[in-house]
Amino acid sequence: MTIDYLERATELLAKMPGVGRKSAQRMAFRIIALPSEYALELAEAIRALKEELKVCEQCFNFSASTLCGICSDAKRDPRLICVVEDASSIKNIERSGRFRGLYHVLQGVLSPMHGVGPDDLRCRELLLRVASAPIDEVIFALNPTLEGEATSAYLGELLKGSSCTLSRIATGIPVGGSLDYCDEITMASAIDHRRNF
Amino acid sequence: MGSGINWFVGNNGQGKTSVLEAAYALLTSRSFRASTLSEMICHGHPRCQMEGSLERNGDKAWMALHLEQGRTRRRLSGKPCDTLTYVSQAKILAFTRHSVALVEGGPEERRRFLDRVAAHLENQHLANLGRYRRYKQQLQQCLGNGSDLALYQSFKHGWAALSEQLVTRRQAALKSLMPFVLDYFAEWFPDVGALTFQYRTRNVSDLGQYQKRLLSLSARELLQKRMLGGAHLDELEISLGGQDARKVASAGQMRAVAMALVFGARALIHKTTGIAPILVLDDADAELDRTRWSKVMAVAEEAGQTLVSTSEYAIIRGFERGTVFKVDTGTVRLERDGG
Ligand SMILES: [Zn+2]
Repeated sequence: MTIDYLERATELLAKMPGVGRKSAQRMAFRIIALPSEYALELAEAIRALKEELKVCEQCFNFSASTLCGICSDAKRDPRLICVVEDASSIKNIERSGRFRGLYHVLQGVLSPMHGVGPDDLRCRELLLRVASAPIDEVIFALNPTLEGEATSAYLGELLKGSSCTLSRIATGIPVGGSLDYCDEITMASAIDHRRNF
Repeated sequence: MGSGINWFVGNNGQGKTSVLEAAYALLTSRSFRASTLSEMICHGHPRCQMEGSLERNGDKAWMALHLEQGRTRRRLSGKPCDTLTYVSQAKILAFTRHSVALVEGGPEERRRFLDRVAAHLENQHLANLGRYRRYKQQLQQCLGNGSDLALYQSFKHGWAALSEQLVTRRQAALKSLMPFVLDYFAEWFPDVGALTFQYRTRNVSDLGQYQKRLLSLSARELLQKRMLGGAHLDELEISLGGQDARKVASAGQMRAVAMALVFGARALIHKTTGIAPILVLDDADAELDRTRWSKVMAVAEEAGQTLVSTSEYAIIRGFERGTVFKVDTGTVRLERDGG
């Protein structure tokens, strides 16, 4: 019976990115060795992630309430929208301190070979946002992968008819790289030197 | 091995080709006769490994290639290494009995050859090819899914720009390569007829409108569910006496053209990068008379390190310099140290 519990935990942990069976098993052993408060806190933290943490209904950033901290901040400029792949990019752009508008999290990029099409992303919601409020500029800040570029091209084409300016951040960021590994100075300059579509 | 010519002498079936194949695979991470690396593993053995030191201008890199069924590990000076970095270490070219495929085989053989030359001249070319393949997968998935034009075009924009870059580099490589190839060909095979090369872009006639033209094919591609243009569909046409070499050339003439291509590539890469690629010649003396063979080997010797297999000692006579190895039942023994 004990073996089954271990097996179950190992299997679940091995689903995490970058975690193989061996490391998953080591994690499970470590959890057994640590005081039970740790295990309970971990279990509670994981539960809260799924049940308490919500996404903002305007920008799809993680949020504890219906509108996230950025969307509900009156000092931010609602006429600027920065389109990002996921919430981790927001942290990065915020750290650069160069952007004072709002975000739109697509929750991924287009990738037909992985079965991800426009309907699997928050594309329609972006079009709605742009159509229903006065927006001056939409800035694309997707990772410089070919999927990121194709996604920018796709949305750029759909937004072409609207009155707002379309731009994308400059690529001081290495091609194929990720915004996650981009320092504040590079990011600030990428935003300052954004180019029109 | 010696820095000039290295002869591997032995009767047929003693393992000469395997020795050369191992040297080639160690540096390129691919075999010159099998389509996959794992085919190099001896039947009944779980794994095989190749190791060696690559030296250039006093710099040394220890390269190691470990093969196990379905798994390849590359190490550079003791550290695990990604494929791109690994294969960028050495410059090496091979002329073997399989090289005739350069003329006789499908267009992909000639594209691959041209891409390898272009990659030696410009490292970025290899990375671009990888990116191009990924674009192609995405586009073909769109065609398979019956995607709409908007989604398809969004991938095609970046793809078309990349395809143009690949084509430009290939054409530049061909243009620089041609004089060398034609020189060797005229010198070694003056009786064969005029040799010409032409790079043809599929479904694009005006290169000034390259990307625009590729994008305009999209609607038709979605309808036919296949791509109609792009660098992966282009052809390098080889003509002999004004006619398609694939149709009119004899086996010997095809070998001659392939040989001129490989030697030409070596000379071009040497001239533009200052580094003479290592040359592997397996079974290259077949079908060549003694006079031609001497001319060919004189060029090979002049250019840099060369690995040659032969079954006859007679072939070596007349070459005072060079290192000689005897290959016998899978064992290699140094017979003459040529420095
Ligand atoms: Zn929000």
